[in-house]
Amino acid sequence: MRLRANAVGTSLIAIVLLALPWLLPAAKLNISLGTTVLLFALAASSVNILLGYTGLMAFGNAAFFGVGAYASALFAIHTVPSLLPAVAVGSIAGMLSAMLVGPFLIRRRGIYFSLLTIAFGQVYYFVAYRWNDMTGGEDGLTVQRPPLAAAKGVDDAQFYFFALAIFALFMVVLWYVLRSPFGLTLRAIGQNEVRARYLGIDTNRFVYFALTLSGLFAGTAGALYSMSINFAYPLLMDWHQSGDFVMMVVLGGTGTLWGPLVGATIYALGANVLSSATEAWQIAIGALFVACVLLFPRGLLGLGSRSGGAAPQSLAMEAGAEPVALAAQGYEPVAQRDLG
Amino acid sequence: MSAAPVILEATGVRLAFGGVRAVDGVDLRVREREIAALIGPNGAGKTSLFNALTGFFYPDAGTVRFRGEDVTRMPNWQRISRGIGRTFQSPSIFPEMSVAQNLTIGIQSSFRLSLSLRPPSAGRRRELEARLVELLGFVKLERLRDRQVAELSHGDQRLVEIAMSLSTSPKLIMLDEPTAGLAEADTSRILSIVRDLHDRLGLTVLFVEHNMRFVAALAQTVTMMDRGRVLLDGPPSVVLKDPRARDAYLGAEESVRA
Repeated sequence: MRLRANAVGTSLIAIVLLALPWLLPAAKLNISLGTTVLLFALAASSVNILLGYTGLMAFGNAAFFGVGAYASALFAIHTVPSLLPAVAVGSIAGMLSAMLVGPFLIRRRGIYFSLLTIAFGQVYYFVAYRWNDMTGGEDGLTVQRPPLAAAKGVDDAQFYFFALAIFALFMVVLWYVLRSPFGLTLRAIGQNEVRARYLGIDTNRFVYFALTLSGLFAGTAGALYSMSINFAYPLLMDWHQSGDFVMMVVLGGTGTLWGPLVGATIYALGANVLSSATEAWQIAIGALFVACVLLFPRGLLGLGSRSGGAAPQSLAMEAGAEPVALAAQGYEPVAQRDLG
Repeated sequence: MSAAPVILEATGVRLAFGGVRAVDGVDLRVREREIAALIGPNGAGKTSLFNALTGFFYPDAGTVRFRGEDVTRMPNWQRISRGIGRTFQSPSIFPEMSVAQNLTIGIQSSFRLSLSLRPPSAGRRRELEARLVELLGFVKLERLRDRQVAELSHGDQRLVEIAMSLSTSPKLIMLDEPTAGLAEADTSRILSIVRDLHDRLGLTVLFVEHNMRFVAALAQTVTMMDRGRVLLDGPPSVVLKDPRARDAYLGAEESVRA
């Protein structure tokens, strides 16, 4: 039953995404809006890996996104102007940027983890902002979208399908990983980390791998994004951008495969359609976000799930839950007990 | 006295929270294949001692040895592979997963499959399934296999948690108040399971318990704690009848009422 419902939903999403290049012009919208939705959904999925499955409130994923954007732009400018290698370089750079800060993050949980992700995200932001020679500083980098093969350019509609192919590939990978023993273990950590540790699981190591995977997703999204808008600029890495990705996940549904896509769609439509109607569009999105957190903490897609109202561990900030979760790391137990 | 080797040995263990000395210099020895009970009034430090023994917190002083190895500052997850299993006062489970998934996570861990990104091979799947069936059968929860754990009764959740603790094939299983909050029928289910842990699986059992009938029915040795220290230890026939044990319990109750 549930499997069939998922299959139907996935097929519907696939049909809509494939038809989008014809649907959007019919609604007097640009095809690049569709591309933006896909790439925001991919970036929001990178947050979902941490927030939705592993239970970690990550507020720095825009940094990995931005590193991917700059890396692919720099690669296209300075080396071979070819689309696929540029995106691959961005993906790997995004992953490495997460692996670099991972060791500092994996021992922290809850609010401490969130604060550190913001801090490291801002470090990346300031590096991009200040390193004029490399990144163009505040002005950013303008990059011509490189061809896919031979010397033929890629127009916006073709680029949409290119982005869709990569998005689909990453969703299949995520679906596959979530079904593996590793994926089941990540979800276990998200639900009850103490129990996971008492089943012999080195949870810090899993958090590190979740971060790595998250960085790969965010980096890929960023690489495609700079190729899409022909531009990479520091604000892509700002913590506001990270917050937007978190908001998309929460709107659409944490811990669901398609929640980030739903959230990114709402967000992009808000930014593009509502914003032409009213400057106060962010108030509408904000109100929807508040409604989601209060009324259906599982997000819009979580409405139908069996576990209805239960919020993910990191959203349900239970009093007193924090010290226990941290203490279970066996990390700085003395300081921790002083908090308790 | 029993000649079986000591499996778990705590020496001079101390654990303080701020100014409160929850565990204040405890020595404890548990012998292999023994059922040992840890009793004492609320706040005596029983759970804190469990936490120090299993690495939930590292003790401030003292040593913990398991099967001869010093594990005092070994990360808690590593002790599991050494052969320690544990339950908590309120069942620690994965609430949004099925009973089968709850158990599979531990089975995968003990098969060293947890990091695998691919679904297990057919042969591995059969092994995982066989172990799952074995564990479900042990706690007699076969019929609840595909139910979400959050939906189960408190008693069934306790049994799931015991089965989870067994999923990593421990030598020593530590149960923190296994019958707390349970009705009579559930208590007798737990009692027969704990007896099976010892008689059928040959495990060493250390449990914290307030239900003295449960203690008397199962324990071969009893350690009584009060205010972070060991007050008495010995066979249940001696400890449970000792007037000091009764005084400690009564004293605690009076101070609660006052």
